[in-house]
Amino acid sequence: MTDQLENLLRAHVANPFFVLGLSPAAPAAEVERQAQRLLSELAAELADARRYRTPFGEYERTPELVRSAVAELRDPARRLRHEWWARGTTEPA
Amino acid sequence: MTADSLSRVRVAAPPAGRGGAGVGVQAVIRAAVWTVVWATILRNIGASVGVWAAGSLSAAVTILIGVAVPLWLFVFFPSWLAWRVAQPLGMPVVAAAASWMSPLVRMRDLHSISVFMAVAAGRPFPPRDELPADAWIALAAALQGDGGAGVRAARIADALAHLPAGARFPRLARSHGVEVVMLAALRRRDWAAAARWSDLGRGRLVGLLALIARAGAGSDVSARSLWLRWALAPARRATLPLVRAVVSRPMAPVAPAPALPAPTDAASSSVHARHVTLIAAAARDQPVSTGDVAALASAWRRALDEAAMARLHARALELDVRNGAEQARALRERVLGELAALLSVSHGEAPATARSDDFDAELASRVRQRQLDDVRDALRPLDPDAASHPLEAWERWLALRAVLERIDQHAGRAASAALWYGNVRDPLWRWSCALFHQHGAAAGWVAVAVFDWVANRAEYVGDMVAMLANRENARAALAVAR
Repeated sequence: MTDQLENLLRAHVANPFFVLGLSPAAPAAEVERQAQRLLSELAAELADARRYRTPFGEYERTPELVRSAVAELRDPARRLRHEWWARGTTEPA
Repeated sequence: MTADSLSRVRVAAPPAGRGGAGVGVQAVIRAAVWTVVWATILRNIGASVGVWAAGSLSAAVTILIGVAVPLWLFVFFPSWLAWRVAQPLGMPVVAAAASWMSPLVRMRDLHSISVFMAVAAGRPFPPRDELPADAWIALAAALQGDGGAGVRAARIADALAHLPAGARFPRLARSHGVEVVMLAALRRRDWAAAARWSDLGRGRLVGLLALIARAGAGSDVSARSLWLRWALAPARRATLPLVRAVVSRPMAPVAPAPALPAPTDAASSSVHARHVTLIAAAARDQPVSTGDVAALASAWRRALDEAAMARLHARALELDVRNGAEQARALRERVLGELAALLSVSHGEAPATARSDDFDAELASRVRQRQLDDVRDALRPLDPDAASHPLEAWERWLALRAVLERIDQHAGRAASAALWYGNVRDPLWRWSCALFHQHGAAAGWVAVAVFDWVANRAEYVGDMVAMLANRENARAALAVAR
């Protein structure tokens, strides 16, 4: 049961908007630009790029996570769902 | 009635414990050593003081020197030496020798005490095959890993607090054992865990630690009473930093795990943020209350209303997502699924709800299905054919017990009865008898608790056959567990 809850938590904190450090309102072009920038910084081993903030703490950012995040946001239906969670989590009710 | 069902009804005559004769011989040797050592000490004290005083002592002083002091030396000094000197200073051999010399320690507890002391000193838990299952080992298991905190430790504390009549929880375990677990919790500033353990403990130090836990959790405790209790309690050096800390500044409630700060202020009022915060707590084995999850479900009902779904549809159109309704349904399904997961691990009574709509009905249905799955998962390790160590068996039973008790709280007696007859009764009964037959006296302490709980549970759901048979089983197990 704890494993399942850990997976749920991981899914929430790996929201692509958190991973990319973007607002849920960010347009597609900005998503692509930010992903490229983060991948370059990770390749250059910049310390700041290795962590990302969420309302629930800091987590490790990897190139795989960035690629996966940008792929998720390219699909409009998936983006809609991630946007709904990210918006709800970061904005007051 | 089949042969199989007959065999599980009652346990056989108690099997002899391993090395029973050897333990008896050791106990006789121990009593002989006590007699020789203490008789020699008493004789020397009497002779020395008698010669020195030359008849000048009053009757009271004579009684003090001739009776009270030797009695304290004989009864209390060895355990004081073991727990207040040797254990804190990391002298396991001295602690073991002092425990061996203490009349407050039964022969059968010596090994368990040394295991507890080793775990308290940070050494690894020994292989379980070599261990008996008793209160000391249970405390060591609670201390291991998460240091008396977390769901596992809470489960162990709850089981120890509700031991059946006659099941042993030695006085020294209640004082010295519980003190160690409480100190570990307080050093992590886990006030709730310390308070939970304090209900099991006895003695001045446990009283002081309970007071520190209350003060740390924000209760109104005066500095004067804290210092007074500190002055009267033992282990003052170990507890001084804790008392100073709670006296000098107001303490926050339990600190969250380092990687999980609370949501930001802006987000803390959002239902999404509360949702993820509760998932994070449950994922970290922190207790989650049913009331909190019910309040969250109520908030979600409002957050998933028609207006919210209309906003989602509008955004779906902006993003050129054609199946907006399907996306909204998928999000609602996910929320319901995660709420059901939270409810199935939550603790406490479910609050009465005034309204019942589709959202509630769907959530209740998911929770029921999940609870059934949880029961099946908890029953799976209780295999009567697979040998498991009594302590491991006890912990597996505790997991099942926690699941069933949660179902009692959430679903009520009728649902528990249906579950009992349909899924739980036969496998649990067969497993508990097999456990006692396989391990005999080594599983006596565990078997008493399990049989007694099965009997109580059978009584709760009106299963008189199972109740009477398991009361008998509990008596048989108690005969070897004493």
